Amino acid sequence: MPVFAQICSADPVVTFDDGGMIAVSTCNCGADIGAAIGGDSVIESADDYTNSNHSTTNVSSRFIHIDGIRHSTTCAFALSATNSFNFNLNTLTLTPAQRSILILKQQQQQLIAGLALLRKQQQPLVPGGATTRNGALGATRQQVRREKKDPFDAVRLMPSRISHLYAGSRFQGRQKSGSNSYEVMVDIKDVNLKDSSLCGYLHIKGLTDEYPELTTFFDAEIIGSAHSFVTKKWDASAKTDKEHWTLFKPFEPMCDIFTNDDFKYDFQGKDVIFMRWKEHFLVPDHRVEGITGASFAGFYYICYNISKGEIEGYYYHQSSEKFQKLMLSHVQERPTSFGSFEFR
Amino acid sequence: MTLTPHEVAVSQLATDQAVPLDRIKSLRFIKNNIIGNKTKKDLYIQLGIVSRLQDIISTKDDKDSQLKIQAVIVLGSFAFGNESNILALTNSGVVEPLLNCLNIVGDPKLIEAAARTLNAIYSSPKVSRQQLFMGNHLHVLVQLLDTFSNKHRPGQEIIQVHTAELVASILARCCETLEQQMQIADSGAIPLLMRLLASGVSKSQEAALGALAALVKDNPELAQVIAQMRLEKGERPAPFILRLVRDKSPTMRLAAATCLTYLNRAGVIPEHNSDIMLTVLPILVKMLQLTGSVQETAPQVLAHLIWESENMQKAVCDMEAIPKLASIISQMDEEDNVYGIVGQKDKLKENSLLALAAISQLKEDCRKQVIEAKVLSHIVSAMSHPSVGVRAAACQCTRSLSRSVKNLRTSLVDAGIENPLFQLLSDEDLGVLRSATATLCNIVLDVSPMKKTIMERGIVSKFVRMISYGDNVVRLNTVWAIKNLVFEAESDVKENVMRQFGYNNLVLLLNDSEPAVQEQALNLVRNLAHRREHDIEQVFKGLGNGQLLSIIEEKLSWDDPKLLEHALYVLVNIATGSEYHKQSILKRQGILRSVLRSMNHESPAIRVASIWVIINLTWPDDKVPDSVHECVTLLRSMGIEDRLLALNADHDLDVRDRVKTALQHFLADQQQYGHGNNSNNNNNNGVSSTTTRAMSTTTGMMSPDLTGSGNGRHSHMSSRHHNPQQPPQSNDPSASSSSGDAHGGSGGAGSAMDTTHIVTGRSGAGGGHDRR
Repeated sequence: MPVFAQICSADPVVTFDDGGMIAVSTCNCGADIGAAIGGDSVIESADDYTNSNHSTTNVSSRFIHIDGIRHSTTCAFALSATNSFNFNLNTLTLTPAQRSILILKQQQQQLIAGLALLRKQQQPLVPGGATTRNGALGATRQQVRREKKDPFDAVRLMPSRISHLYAGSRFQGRQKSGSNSYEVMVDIKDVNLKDSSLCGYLHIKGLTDEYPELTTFFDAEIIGSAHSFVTKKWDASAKTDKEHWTLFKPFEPMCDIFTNDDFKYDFQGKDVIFMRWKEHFLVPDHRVEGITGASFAGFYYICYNISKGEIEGYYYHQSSEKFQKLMLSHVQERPTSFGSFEFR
Repeated sequence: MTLTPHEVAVSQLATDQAVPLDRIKSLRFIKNNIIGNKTKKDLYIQLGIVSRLQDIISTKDDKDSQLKIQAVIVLGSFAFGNESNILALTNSGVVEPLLNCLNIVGDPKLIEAAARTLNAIYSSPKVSRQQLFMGNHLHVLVQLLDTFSNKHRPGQEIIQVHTAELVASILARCCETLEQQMQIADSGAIPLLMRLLASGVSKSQEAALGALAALVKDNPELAQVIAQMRLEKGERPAPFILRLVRDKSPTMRLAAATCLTYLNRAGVIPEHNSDIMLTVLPILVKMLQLTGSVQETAPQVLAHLIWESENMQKAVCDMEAIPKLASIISQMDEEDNVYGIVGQKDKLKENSLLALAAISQLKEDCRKQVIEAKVLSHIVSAMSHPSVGVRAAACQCTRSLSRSVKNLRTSLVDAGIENPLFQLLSDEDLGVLRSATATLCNIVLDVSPMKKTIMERGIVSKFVRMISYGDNVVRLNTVWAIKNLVFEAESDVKENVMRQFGYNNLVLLLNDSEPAVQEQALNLVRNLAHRREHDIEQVFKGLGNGQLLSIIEEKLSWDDPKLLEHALYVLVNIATGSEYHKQSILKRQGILRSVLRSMNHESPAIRVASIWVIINLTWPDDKVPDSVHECVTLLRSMGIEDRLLALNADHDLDVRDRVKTALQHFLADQQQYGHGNNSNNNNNNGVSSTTTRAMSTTTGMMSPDLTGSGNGRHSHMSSRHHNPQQPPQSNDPSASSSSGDAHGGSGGAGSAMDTTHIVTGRSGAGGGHDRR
């Protein structure tokens, strides 16, 4: 039988004065129960002791002692030891010396009880080779063999949606450029609100003869905590930002404050979502560069009205015609079916 | 015949051959010969030295420990630096006699030598740890950690400290399973390790940190215990270890950072989150530019630390970790090409790839940086690396990078990940197979140009084999991949997949032992029944009408919101189908009651899904106006319209918008059919009051009695379902159940349905079954 008392101080001396608690004994499973920790070793505060002890007992039907040794609550001695500690900690009127004596007395009684139990039980040999001192605990652990959680298990990227903005959603409408107007269709492919982003395809018809229908991949920055109204890239100046955002009526209240450093727009719960859409490459062949008569070097200022399901946008590029307007509305299938994918 | 001096030396070791002094001499001779000499080590092993050494250390004779000490040292020399030698030792059974040398009252020098040799042996993960946990060994080891009590002989303090450090290191190497961690904790090692940690001796502190880290790694229970303990001066361990992170020794810094990493991942030191961000992260990133074992381990610890935290990934990105990792990986490739050295720095490569995978897991900005660092071609070639660890880590990297529509359409196609990935799907290593199947999930999405080619290579025919592989993760990844593959796919693709995969396999997955697999399988059904009536019909045929809806009914009763949401969307999609498809839902009272209950679910997403079921079922259709009317009548009789009215005041915008649409359907029905026709036994006053409320709320004017409407309607319901010919105190169980709580409405509805003509068969006993 392993003798655990050896790692603890041999004498059951209680020294509350210097902060150490001692209750040395042997229980049926051979482990020291009473947290035999001297003043010069690891010390747990009284509050922590009682709290952690209670919670672990409730949750897992065993408790981990402050000495870091786990004990099965099936051990009668363990329970009585716990109770005695709780009791002592509550009797605050006692002097340290009185407390010491009280605890000592209890320990002596418990020691007798513990030894009585000790005689009855043999150490079980658990199949698989490992002997566990805590018989009952060892047995349960064998039955419920838990595996460690893989620390490199992928964090899920749950598909997110906000009203009509979800993977698989479609918008239809037109883009006006001068006197011309082109049919436009937008396919939303992925929405990641946590990353304040979404992406999709933008199909435009009749822009050039070479490509009667042109599809580009775009991604969106959703204005919010991650992206400010101030663009600071894609050749857009503060002036450009102002002159485009103010074209959207719901932007009005923010007109004078949107450049403030401390101003953050929260799109959650709002009826309007502002975005910047930036096209990146052609679909299906992303390697194609440069199309005569068409360019997607600029970006769109976007305003999405949730309750109407409508998107309004203005294209901006230094050398393109200004304020080309995009008007889209959500394509409602009747009735509507929803598939769902998730990145792994 | 002549013997070489080596053969002579070995032969002199035999117990009956020579006087002890000669044997010690021989051992010294051998020791000096083999130190640092791999060829000589192999030679001696071939000469059978191991069993001779084993005999020596196994003798019970304790009078003179010199011989044993020399034998143990020679064994240690064999164990250093070569895994095949270690296995030669363990196969001969040296572990048990070595453990027996650890005797608390024995010669401290012998104990130290044995601990050193055991520590070297346990450096190989292939050595079984079982013996250490048998008998009294663990207990004795833990006693050796105690350098503070006066039980040991005086004058041996230094050797005792060395022994304790070695023991801590052995324990750190024996924490592979939860079981082992718990047994070591049970043995009382933790307080002694804490004392070692606070000892002020650098080497001891490092050893203690190593053991504590191993104990808390992926073990929240022990992490909690250790985080809550106190050191001598009443201090918690975490702030103490945080100071060690700034130590001048790199190995100490790494050991401390590792320990804090595991405590942080266990979520037990939330009060130190900012310390970890501001102190530990930059220190780990700086370590990438060191050399040797610190540089090798640091990226793995970094990956561990940031794996689940978007903020930390972003922070590491801002610290320019990506170019540093990229240059480690690409430089290594160049060195491989020049010198042909393979295998020496595998671990560094593997860990660096893992760190890149961690950084690019959640944020598109970070993925972009990885692509811009021009490291992708090296990642792709690492997918075919001889080391399994490197292959798996490279695959993890491509998995992180493929969580992006943009990358799927561009850089990943350009880098040609498809070929090596397809190869890895047949890899013999489980870890590789897991990460390869995970990556596959993203590659088969409709936005990925690689979907088509990988299908042409016959990916679908591999699915059946993959789900029967016997590993939960591989099975989960497979069903996930199929689900993604059929998302927005054409009908012929779906049919082709299901023909090869088999609906019988789908049924197995829908009833899988793992809820995560069930969730994906339900999502697969949802995607199969998506978009076209023809596709819905295929699922009905494949699973059988009855079985499909029985499965859905069962899943709707689960508490898991993810299962519930997919099950509801299966219904949403089926309800876009033919009249027959809709009717098959309407025939199921259990399903309708679950939908009604889900309309009150705490998650807005689930409320929206359940309202969509109603919207699609009640969609006005001029071709079959009567059946739509019957449907509306049935749903109204169940109390669904009332529930919708209550949801008019929902705090979620999306819910309110959907409610508006659904109520419009009820209103349209009301306008067309009026209240008189509603249903044979309906109470006309009650219905007309509903109509009034519906009209006022859909036009945006909240009816003043809306909040009280629940109770009013419930009493109305219970009065309605009582048959006037029966005495007023009916013993119908549903009468008492409709007494005002959320379930009351549906409780009454169970009976009310008896009175409608649509539902045939089931009786009002459903009122009792409603409460799960």
